Amino acid sequence: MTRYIIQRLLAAIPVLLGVSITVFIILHLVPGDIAYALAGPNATQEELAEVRRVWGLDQPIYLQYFTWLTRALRGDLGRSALQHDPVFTMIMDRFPNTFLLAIASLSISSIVGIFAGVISATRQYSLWDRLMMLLALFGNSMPSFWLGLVLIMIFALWLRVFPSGGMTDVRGAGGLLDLLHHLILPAVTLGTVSMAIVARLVRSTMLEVLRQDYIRTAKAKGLVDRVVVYRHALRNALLPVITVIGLQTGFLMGGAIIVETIFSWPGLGQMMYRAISSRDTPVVMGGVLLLATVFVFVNLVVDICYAFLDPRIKYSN
Amino acid sequence: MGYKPTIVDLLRLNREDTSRREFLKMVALVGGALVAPGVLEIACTPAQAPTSGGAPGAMTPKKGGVLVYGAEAEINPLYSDYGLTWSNGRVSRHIFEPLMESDILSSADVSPTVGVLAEKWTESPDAKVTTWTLRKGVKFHDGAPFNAEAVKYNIEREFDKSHPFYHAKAWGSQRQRFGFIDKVEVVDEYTVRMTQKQPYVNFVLLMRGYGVTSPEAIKKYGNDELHRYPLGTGPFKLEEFKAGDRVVMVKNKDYWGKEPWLDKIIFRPMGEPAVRVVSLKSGDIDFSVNLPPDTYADFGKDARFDVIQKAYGHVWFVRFNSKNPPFNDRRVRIAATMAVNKDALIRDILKNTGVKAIAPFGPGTDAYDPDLKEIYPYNPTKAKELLRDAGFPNGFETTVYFPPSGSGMMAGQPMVEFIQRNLAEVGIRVKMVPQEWNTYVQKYYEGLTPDVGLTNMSHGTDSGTNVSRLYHTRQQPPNGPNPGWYSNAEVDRVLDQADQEPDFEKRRSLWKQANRLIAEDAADIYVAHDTLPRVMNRKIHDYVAPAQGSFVFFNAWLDQ
Repeated sequence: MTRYIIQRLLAAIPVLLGVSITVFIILHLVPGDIAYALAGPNATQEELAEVRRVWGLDQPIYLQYFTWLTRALRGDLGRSALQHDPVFTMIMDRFPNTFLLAIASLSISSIVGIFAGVISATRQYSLWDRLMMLLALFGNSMPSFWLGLVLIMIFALWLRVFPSGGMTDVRGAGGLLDLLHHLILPAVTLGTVSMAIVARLVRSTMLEVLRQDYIRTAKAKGLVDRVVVYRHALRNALLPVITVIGLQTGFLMGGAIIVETIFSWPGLGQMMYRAISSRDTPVVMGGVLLLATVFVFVNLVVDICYAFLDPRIKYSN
Repeated sequence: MGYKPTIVDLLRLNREDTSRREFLKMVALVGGALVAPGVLEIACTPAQAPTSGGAPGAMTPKKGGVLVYGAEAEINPLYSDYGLTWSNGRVSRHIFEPLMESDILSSADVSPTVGVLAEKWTESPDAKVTTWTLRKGVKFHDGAPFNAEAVKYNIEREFDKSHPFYHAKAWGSQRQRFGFIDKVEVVDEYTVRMTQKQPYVNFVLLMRGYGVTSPEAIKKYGNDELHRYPLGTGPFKLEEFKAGDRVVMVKNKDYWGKEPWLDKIIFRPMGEPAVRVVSLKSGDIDFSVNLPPDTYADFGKDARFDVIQKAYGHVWFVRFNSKNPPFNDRRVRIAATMAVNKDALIRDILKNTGVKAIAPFGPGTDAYDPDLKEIYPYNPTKAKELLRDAGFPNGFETTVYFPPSGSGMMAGQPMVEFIQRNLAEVGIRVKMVPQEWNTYVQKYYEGLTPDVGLTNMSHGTDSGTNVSRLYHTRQQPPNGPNPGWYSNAEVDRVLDQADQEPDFEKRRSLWKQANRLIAEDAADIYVAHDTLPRVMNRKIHDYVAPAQGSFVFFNAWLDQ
């Protein structure tokens, strides 16, 4: 297993290099010169040239990339052209906030999704099944920017039970309860799509497992339904679900862009949205590198989870 | 002063609360000037007031309280030049003070020029030397004394490459501002003399709005860290800057001037306009700007809010490619101008959050001429006649480059679509080519290619010097922002004359003359002046809306 993990980690290096090269090239292929934005509206050609020189934009693209890479390997991801802070510091400041939001969303989507899927599968074609799948279809279809605004309108404006945005009450004393109070709406908005995907997948895999002989045997032996469903069926049904939840983790980290922007949540997504729209290359590069690392890591964790969930899966040479 | 937002902080129970693009409105960075008479206070939406909560002084102000401001964009680093963008200026002007400015605390249609950190200034007859007498007894937020050395240290940092903290990453416009300076000399502790390389009558206007930073802070934190420690002389001090979340300022108890009433101002970046609307209504924020146009009528009917509008020198326009056919023909430009129903556009698209523009420089600018009447009013029949006379009886096809959104671009795409429909009615078939902002700005500065007839832009500037910057022949690409290649020898002559005229009032007459000539020549379709609609909770009193894109809460106070 250890050797497998090391191999996977080594395999991540070319993946991350490939991602960084691709993003760097895309950022430079897009038309538009950031020097104009950096120099300001009154800049002359000489001043534009000076700005390009100061920011290293006058170098050939491969040299710019090489400079970025050598610095990145030393932990220096450069400085934001807009915020003027070191990119590494910016990421470290915001990563915990996005991680918290992603974990909260993942928890909501996994728990509610699995529960809804089990209910649907065990009561196939019942009213509950139809209701759950209707909600799942709704959740899967609603764009997060729309859902977020609707939730804000209902819960922040009409019912006034949740705040409209931010991480804490700027007038209040803060604290854990205040944080949780601010976390619920963005977490639900972000987690809704994943919740719907998980619910539908759990339902279909559960239905498949529930028809298998060993389940019939378990029932024939007189085991109560709850034990059959949760101990024997769900565990086997979860394998493909784990894969999807793993993929959703990456999605939630990256997909937080819209939700964080709507809810003024000071996370990586909000930072990336601004960086992309302003062509803040160092921040985009740093952010994408982090997201790619998260994807690689989560996939590794998912593969390791398989071994624990299904004893038949072994990682060896 | 804290900076890093961490989960650890937030998880701490009973934590003491201590507290967010723009390429930037084309602000009057260069050429801050005296604001002209005639700035409009708009009377078109349900409620508006130049100041909030009744006439200033009508009630007894109360000390204390926290005002929460919902900012429409991320808050950039707080450097001392508060004019960098309007939205950032609304934040940083609380911290930094300039030597002089157009009075940001005046609600008058003519913001008088006032000294802030300078008590007075005198210009030499040859327009080469300006001597500033500085205010005494002023201290920076770090306790360092404000004096002539501090001014010299700040200004040399902008243009002198041998300065230990030369600011190479400052905007090019800063260097244009300071490029005129040959040397800065300390005459005595409170007198500083600036000598220009060559005579330039507008030099003093260029100095308007340049905020002064503590030299000790520059030395201590250097260029890379200075933005984290914005230490000026203003009535509020930075307490906390959490990027993307909040900027908190507290009252400067050692302020040299009148002590502010508010204890604290919290600026919250909230990029989504619909969320700012909800946050105002739920009480999460007290004040915001640039909300969706169709929400102002609702706020106007709500007894809890005031809606305030005031023109501030902004103009939204469609520029013609004056060098190439068909818009090199003045008759075609006039026809296109007369084809656009600006009144309907402002009513239906902007929901009356702007006023009709008839010339490039309108209310709130030096070049504004209150006596100027609309030269080419809406008249599609006349427009068709002009097109026929110009040899286009069946109209023609052209292309417009435009950014669907961007700072100062108002409703952007719907406005361009409205104009497209109007032009189609007289036979001008416009192909719309939206451009992502950065791409757009580059194309704008490179100038319009022969196949592109129109481009849309806005600028917000009060200075008369900008007439020359935007319309003089020498400003054609790549030298400046004259992307339509506009060239008019008479306009150039008047503007050159203005650049030599030492008397400000005579200079202003020349700028007005140029403004009228450009409008008569139909260099662009002038569409609307933004009135920067803002909504505030009526618990705020004595907020002053100046005839500028920036504003402050120095005099504001709260019902508590």
